[in-house]
Amino acid sequence: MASSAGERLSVLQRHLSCPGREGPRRGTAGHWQPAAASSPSPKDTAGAPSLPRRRQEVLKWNGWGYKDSKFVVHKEDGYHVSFTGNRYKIGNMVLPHFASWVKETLGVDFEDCQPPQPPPQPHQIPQPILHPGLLEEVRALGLSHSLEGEDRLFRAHGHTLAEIFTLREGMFPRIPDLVVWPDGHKQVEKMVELASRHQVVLIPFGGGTSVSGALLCPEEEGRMIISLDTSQMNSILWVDEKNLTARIEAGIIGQDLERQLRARGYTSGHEPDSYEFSSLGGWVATRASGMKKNIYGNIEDLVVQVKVVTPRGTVERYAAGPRLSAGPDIQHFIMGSEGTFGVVTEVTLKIRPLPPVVRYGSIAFPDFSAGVRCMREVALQRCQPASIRLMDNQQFRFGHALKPPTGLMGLLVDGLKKVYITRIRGFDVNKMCVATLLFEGSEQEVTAQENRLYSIALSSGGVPAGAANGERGYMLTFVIAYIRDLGFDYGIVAESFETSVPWDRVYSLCHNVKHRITSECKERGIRHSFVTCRVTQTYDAGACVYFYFAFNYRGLSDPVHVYEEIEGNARNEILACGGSISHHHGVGKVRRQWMNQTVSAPGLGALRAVKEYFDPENIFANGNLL
Amino acid sequence: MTRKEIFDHVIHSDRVRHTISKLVEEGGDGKALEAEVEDILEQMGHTQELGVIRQFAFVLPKIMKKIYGKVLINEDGIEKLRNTHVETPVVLLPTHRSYADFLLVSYIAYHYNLPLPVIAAGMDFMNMAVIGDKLRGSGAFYIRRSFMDNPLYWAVFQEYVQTIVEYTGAPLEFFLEGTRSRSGKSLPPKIGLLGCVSEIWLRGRLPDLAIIPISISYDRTLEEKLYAYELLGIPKPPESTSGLLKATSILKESFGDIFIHMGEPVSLRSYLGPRVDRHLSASIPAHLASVTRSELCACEGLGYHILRQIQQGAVTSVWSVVCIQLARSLHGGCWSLPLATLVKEVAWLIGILRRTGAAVALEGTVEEAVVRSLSVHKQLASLGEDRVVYISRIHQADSHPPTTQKKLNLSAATVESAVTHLMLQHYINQAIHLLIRPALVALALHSLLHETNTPHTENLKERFAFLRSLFWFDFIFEKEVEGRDFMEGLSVLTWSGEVSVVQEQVQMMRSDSPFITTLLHLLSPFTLTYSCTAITLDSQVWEDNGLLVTAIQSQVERCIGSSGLYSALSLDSIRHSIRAFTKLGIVTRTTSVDGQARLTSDQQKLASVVNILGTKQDKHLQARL
Repeated sequence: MASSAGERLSVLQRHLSCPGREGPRRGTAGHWQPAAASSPSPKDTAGAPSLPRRRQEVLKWNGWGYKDSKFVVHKEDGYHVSFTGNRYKIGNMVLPHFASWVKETLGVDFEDCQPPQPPPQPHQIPQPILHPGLLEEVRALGLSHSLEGEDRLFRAHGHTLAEIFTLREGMFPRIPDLVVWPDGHKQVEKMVELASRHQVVLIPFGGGTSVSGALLCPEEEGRMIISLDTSQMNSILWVDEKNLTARIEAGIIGQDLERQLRARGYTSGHEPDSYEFSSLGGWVATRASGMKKNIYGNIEDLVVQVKVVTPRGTVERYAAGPRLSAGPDIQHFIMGSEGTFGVVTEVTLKIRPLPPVVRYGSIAFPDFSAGVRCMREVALQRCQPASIRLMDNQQFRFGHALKPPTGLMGLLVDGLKKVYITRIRGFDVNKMCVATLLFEGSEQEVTAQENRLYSIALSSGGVPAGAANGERGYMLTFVIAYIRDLGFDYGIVAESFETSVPWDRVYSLCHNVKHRITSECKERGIRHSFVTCRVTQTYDAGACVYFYFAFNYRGLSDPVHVYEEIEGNARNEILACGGSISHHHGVGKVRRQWMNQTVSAPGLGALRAVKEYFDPENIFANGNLL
Repeated sequence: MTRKEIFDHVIHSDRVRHTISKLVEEGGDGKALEAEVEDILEQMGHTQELGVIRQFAFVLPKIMKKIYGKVLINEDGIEKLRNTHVETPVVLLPTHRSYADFLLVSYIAYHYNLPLPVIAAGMDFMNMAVIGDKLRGSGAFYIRRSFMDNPLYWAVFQEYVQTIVEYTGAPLEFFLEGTRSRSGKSLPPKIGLLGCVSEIWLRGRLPDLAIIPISISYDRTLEEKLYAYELLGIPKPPESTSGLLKATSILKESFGDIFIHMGEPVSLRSYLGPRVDRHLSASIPAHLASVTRSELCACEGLGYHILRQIQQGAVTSVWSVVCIQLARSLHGGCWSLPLATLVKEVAWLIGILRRTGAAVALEGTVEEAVVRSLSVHKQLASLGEDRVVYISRIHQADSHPPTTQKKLNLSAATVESAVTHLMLQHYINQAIHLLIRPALVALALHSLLHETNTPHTENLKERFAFLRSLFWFDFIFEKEVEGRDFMEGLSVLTWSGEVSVVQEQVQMMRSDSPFITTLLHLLSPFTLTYSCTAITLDSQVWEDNGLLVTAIQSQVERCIGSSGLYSALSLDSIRHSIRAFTKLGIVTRTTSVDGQARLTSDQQKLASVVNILGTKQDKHLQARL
């Protein structure tokens, strides 16, 4: 059995490696990374999953991430914000500038706190619709399952604003009726066969980090809905060190995959911002993109083979060769199918040896357009480091607001840096922006990359601004997701969305979308709003742009609806400016309306026909994409 | 941005470089083309020299104080404009009734400390000695009248205009109507510049643009007399400084007040957004994605929308209302009428106009206002000691200013009356947009009543729709709002008690309603023109050249008879009528083998136009009377 193979391997691993020698120290590989993996705990073996089957024991039921990690507000001569827990670098620290930043930018009144509703009582959770006979067969098969309200509610949603808002203030009209945890490909095949035979709906669930409404149960669905949780299929089945590939079960989450590969001296190099919680199967199903794609590639570059169970049978491409010419790639039908064709059960992924050197860096630019010019030049010369991201001025200042207190020396260095950049170089603090850099490779490679990059930066008007700024930038990526939950308490709704766009339109798209959002807010009487963007990925022909948008909804009756209207208009603006429907979040339900203009009517028709073939009775009826 | 920087930006733009390389492929000489671009730019380019601006700022008020009374402006509009400047680039679209418009907006910007506009001007100004350069120095740039067949010029022009809007921060000002409206009515929008400006937003280069409709209303138009001659077919002298100096005699006259209304900013995005699909061309390099037909159509709609905004912001002078009543008197053959009668009728009509929501510039009593306006316009109509208003025959044989070699199409007697008529019509036209909707409903009803006693509202609406599209170029309507226009017109008629609608049946309340008579009267010169166009087109197959226009004018002259409808001679309306007939498919333009364009007409349709316009019946009526 697959899981036992995984266990055997991890036991073997433990025998081979002395304690404390789990690959390179985290200190060198990156402080910013969530410390969950390295925090000592009795169960801390490379093979054990970080999240239990009952996710609610460790994760928030109505917000992002770990229960013990969150922003909190204290009152003691004024208000202070701090971050709890010791999983992240800013954990257990007061953030001295943050309270005044939110007050100024978003008009937050710390007196006016509205905590979320308590966890629902069992009677408040919709009663399950049960299909006669099915449950017995599930039991007979020995499939692990649950009818408990908490388990079902936990798998009824992803993390869009609307979903979290519903958890805090209401209840979903429809949630899964049953949760099953297959332990491997065989059990998935049985489950899909069972569902087809009984005409019930299956919605695959991986890490639950979707931001496209993909996990929501269609309200009008009258059949029983089963959430197929893949989290127990989480082993690395084998590692092929000759070809640098690994066969992995699709339910494994990012941090476990990395930790286990790291223990063997490898990395997948796939690090989406959600990688602490999101799963391999989810990455495949949404065409995910990782921060370090410049070295390792996006999921479509990393996947060698993928195995999917559809109601028509198991789809596989029986060739592990690096490329083949055999008609349209069947695996590309699967990647991005968002759970509408079937369940991804196993994936062969490329792996790479761990890089010996990891270094951060940052560059300050006088303004955003100079930054974009530099990014374009870097892409033109194809000398991107593992990651290069350009934050606009708003995000740069936001990052500063999240700075932990610094010691006297730190203050001195910071002060000097600031004097140099603002006084000597003449940068305007209200215009300047920063690019953060992550280098990986051998010492030689990294040094060469640094030299080349900083010389491009200098010629586009930038100034190298130190490793600390860069490192903090990447840390914020993980922490920023936690801020939204704090915002909710004080009448702030926030969300992020992304796009990809050709180079010549990057600047105007960023400018136009921010302008559009600001004016849409104004039209709706929103007094405080915050919109910021960053160019997070570069390609030969364009870039990926990521937006954060928050506003103060005190005084509005239906903030979620207002938000959705504004995001809809922002997406229209994005498309009109040459941007795409999505770079890596996927379509789900919230962006379905733009599929037609994205792939043309015949294109969409072809996708529907594929769905019709794989799943003629619409067992995978999550209603995504098509 | 300096002049040099703008030039460099244009020269190095993708569009200009692409156009040059295409022309080189077709055998052009790269160096020569580059030199041509620089020449075009030298000829086109504006500067904003503070010195010149100060000179104007010094001289203009002096001249203006001399000839005008007050300049009245809505200051809340100025403040809105100021706020809009912070948000988005601004395009100023004023009405064009007079040369005086030219620097008026700049002067106001200067006065209120707003960014000075860059103004698109016709080439004819450039050739004026001294003035041409002074205008350039105060922010005017010059464009050729027609250049669609010159791709290089077109590319440079587009880049130049777009650079100004996108990068300089200065508002762009141009005249949507393209030229001064001789007739006093709004002219149909020219969409070349508007399309060029819209392209910036259509191609996602800016998040939005604000368009400010500006209505400038003059009590008395400087060029009133010249316009009347031009509309009759006596061409204007070319723009020259000496001509301007000759015109300085006007410094001794009084031209009343000027009303300026800065309209509510129109967001280009809000208007065009729902009407275009920008994503369709968003993946083509911006300089290769020219504005599509449907996008141009939406821009045209925007043009009409702005013109309506301009009309709604315009202040109606009492003189316009006076002219309506003076013209009625003239049509009846009376060149004089008692002040008391005039005041009574003017007061009545002002009452109606105000109820339709018009802003009439009325200070004090109606009588005071009428007397005041008569004193401003004393050349045209003067008040005698005997409290009688005398209308003057402006044209004295062989005294009209521009002597031309061209043989006049019209008889001397006709011209003698027509000049006065057309001058009055110029002012009537400035208010005609207020009444055009009820007037067309009235005309539709009038024509239907010949066919049936109680027409159905649907029939009435259909007839109205036909008339609305027939007179599309003479009176400005917004696209897409035919139903609203109809309801607006019908409701004015119903609340004034002239018409009732019972169970979808429309009835006239009385046959001699003064309001309906006034409305039909307002339209009578236009219906005469359009009928004559139909009759002329019916007579033969015409080549598409000036001869047709002259022939129609002669036909009108023959038809005027005792009706006194001399304003029907207006070339402006004649040209509009031909355009409308073509658009409605009553006339088709075909190009024969020899390259000559011919106009063939559908005789049945022509007959129905004449029938609907009702001139036949009227003549019949007149004969019986």
